[in-house]
Amino acid sequence: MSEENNIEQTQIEQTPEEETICRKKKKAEKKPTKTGDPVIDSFIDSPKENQILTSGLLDKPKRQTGPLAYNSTAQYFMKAKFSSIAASLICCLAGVILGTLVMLILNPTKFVYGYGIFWSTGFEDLVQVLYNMAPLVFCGLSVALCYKCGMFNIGASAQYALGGFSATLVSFLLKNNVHWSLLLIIATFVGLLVGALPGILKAYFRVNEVISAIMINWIALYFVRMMVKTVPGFFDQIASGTVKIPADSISMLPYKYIDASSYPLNIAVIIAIVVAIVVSVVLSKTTFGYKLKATGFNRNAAEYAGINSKLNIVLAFALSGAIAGLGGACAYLLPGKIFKGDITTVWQEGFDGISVSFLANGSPIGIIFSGLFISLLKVCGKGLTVDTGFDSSAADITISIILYLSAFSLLIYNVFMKDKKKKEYKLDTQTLIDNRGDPVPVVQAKDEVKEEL
Amino acid sequence: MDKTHDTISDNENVAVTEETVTEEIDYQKNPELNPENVVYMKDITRVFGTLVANNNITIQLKKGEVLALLGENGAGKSTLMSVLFGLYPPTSGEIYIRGEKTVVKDPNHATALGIGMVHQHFMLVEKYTALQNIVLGVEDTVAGIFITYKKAREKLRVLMEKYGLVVDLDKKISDMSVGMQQKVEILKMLYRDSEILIFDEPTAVLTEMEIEELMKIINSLKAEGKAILFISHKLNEVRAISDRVTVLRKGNYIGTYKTSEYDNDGLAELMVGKRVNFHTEKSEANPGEVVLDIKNLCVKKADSPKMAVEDFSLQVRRGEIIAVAGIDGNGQDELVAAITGLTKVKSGTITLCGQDITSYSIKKRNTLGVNHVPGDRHKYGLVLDYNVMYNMVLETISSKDNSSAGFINSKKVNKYSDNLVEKYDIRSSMGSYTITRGMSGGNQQKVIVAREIERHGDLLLVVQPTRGLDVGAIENIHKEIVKVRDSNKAVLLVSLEIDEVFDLADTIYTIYEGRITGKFKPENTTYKEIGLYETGAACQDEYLPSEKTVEASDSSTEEIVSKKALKKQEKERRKLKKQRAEEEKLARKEDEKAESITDEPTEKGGEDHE
Repeated sequence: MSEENNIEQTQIEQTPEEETICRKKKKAEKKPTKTGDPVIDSFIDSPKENQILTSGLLDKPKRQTGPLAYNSTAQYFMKAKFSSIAASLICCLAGVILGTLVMLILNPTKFVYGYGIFWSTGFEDLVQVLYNMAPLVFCGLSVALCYKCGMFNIGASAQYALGGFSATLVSFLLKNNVHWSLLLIIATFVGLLVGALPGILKAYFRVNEVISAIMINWIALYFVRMMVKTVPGFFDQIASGTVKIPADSISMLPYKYIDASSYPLNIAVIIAIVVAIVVSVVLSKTTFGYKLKATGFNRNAAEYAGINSKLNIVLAFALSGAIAGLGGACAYLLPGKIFKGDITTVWQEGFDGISVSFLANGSPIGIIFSGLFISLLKVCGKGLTVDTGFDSSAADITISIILYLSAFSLLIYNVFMKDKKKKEYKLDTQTLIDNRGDPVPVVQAKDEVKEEL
Repeated sequence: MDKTHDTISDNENVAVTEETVTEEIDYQKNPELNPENVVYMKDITRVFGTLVANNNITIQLKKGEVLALLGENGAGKSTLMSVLFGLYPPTSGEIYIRGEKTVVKDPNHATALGIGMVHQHFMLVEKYTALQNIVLGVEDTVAGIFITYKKAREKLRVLMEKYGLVVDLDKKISDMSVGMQQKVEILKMLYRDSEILIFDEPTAVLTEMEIEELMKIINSLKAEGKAILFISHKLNEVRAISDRVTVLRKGNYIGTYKTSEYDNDGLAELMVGKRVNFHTEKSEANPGEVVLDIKNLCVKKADSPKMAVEDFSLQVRRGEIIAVAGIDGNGQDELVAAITGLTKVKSGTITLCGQDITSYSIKKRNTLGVNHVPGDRHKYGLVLDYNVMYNMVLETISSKDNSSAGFINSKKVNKYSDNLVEKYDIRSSMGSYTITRGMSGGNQQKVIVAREIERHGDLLLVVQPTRGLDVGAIENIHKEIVKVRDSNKAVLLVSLEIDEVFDLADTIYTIYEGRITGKFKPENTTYKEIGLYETGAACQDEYLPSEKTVEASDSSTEEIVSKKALKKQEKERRKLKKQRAEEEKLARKEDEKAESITDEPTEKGGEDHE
């Protein structure tokens, strides 16, 4: 078989002189009568080579390796990545500007003062920004991973909360003598189980994952409320929540207070960044990520290729839950964090994770940055109190505008990627002749000279 | 040119006399200004970025004439018609409708000018009835709010009688056959008083019978004086229906010719630029050991207790191509699904090289040597959002060649893909990095064919391998399939195209309602005979359902089915009978209409269109 290929290739690479020799050597075949039409006659006269239709445009047997406007595919991909990042940044910038305008309209007199407080709160307390960033990154990763498999993980809140709760509960039951790493593993496992549930329902029973996940969110809420009150000794009447984990126990994540902030530096952020990198590598470079994405893009084709689509759906959800559970533990194993016994709304971090994920367009590394940015905005918002003339919802408005605009990021991406050399074209149809003898019209930009093609 | 002025002022007196002196326009020099040329597209060029889709193309069309646009996939035929229909403006060039220069702004404007287009992928709302689809956008309303269908029904009744396009107006599109849906599309055009009708690859989705009907319809429209543009790459149809043919190649205008002066070979050579071999050269088959052995296979239908495949037995040996020919919907899809592992079988065995694979998973069958080119390349064949590289290794991503310890070896995968792209002449904008969604159908199919053949499995199962492809691509893929056979592998071909079956097969089996009705050698049979066996009108003795098997299948269905379901079955059977009777009636009516039209050509001209 390979020998045949070699023979074919050598035939393609014949020089014109060799071609004429070959032609003469071949037996004289019957020529059809001439029709009088010059186009057809010229083709009748053309050499009768082997019947294999050859590829590409020119004498070169090598196919084109890139779109006409780029020297190589690598250049194209660089431009694509650049454009998508630029698009997200422009959306953020536009959102911030619009949020500023909103604040200006809401209270023009106190605008300068309030606006100054807004940004200074955030930039002064960067520790708080990092502190709040970790849960956002974890939940964002959770949503993004599931989205890559074509599904929506709206149950990140339950997975996050139950992960954190299981860590807190185990720590309490074992008298806060457990090492935090073990608690993280337990939390991850609990998150995995909670996350797998909508996945199993979707894969095997075709239950809509959004509906089942929302219900699980509420089950988790009432479960936590119940457990907080029923586990003996767990409930702290004054705080109306769980007893605090002692600040010096080994159950607590390593942390450090510094003078600049009332929030401690801790390793949760570092874990979050590591997890983001791991997710990015798994999705792009492993066979597992390949199969996961294939199932998400086209479940039928994946099945026909032998990929177990049901298993992959369950795994996608399970891993999303695991990441969110880990995030919950990383959030609640910190000084002063408790589970309240009277909550009535589902934990917000899961839904903020959706925002973070979409702002970064699902890219795990991008989520690190979008998590940072949204955390910054939220902290800024906390600084807005009544006397500054604004409400903290001004920050929420800004975040919402940014997210609304992130829908336009694809539009901006297309603008960047558009081939700008459109305007002046000189249609030159005689320059390129392909090896069938056809003239191939190629468009040349006025100033450009095509060196190779 | 207006000679009658009601109000003429003194100033205009001079103007009137100037105008009344009609200048003789030389229609030889300026054929575009000739009002007899219903459509004259002059030097149309359309550029997309750096791709020249149309390069200085000129076509003209008169009333009562069919002009075919012939070209390979990617030649620019659809683009040209999209320009005419107002979907894109031409980069340069002019369009003259009835001698007047016009700029077609959008499809609504095109409809107002009398241009109508039937697209290859129908533009119909599935949930609506035929009537609602036809009047969509031009509904008659009472007080601007409530829709009335009375006028529309009357007009459509007249149109349906006139052209023999009988359609049940109150049937939902989703309940209609594809041929009937296309009739609704044509009625849509006629309802809007289109004079210029464009058909974009209309026969791609039709069965043989429906194609014949369509040809009759086009002939009757032609007799009415409509101007028809017919886009196709199928040579037989072009020769059957068109008066003149314009050939396009890679965006270039090759020429316009009288169809009667060319045969298939001539047209193919114009289209491709080279002599095209319609018949794949293949040597005598030398079958070896049995590779695939199907015994008494029974597969249930998806949504009913009936059997899709019944008592099916087949053997495919090394070095031969076995073809299963039949009309769509007679169990071929279920048969393929059973062999590949997508559906479970009810009874029977499938053996691959001696190993019983009836209960094996798809993955295991793939590794054991079942290579499958699926019939629906978008649904089952490719992950369209992946690039060529990743699609090439869809089944083999976990093998040692392409990955190690769970990590994809990008370099190896890329190299493998590049080799195949070169070998199989897969054309794409960025080589292995092209996203397959952006590739043409023919090249997508080449990716799948390359992927499956290069896995060198013992059995190659190809389903409809050349659907939607042009002559050049078909030749290529047929050659590859014969190569596989010659390299001592077994090939099972399931196809709806009789040409393909005859071209490739060493043995032909016809299938009807899940049963084999005949076994033939292509040299000993004709298209007609195969067609006969495909419709179940005849059956070879050895394949007649024996009494035992008939009883067995009935009893098995009775076991599963309860009384309610039995009643449902009977209802369904009655419905089917009624439907068949209706369709036969309609078919008879249309035949009569067709005969009446050809017998008495009437000059109805512009009666309904004023």
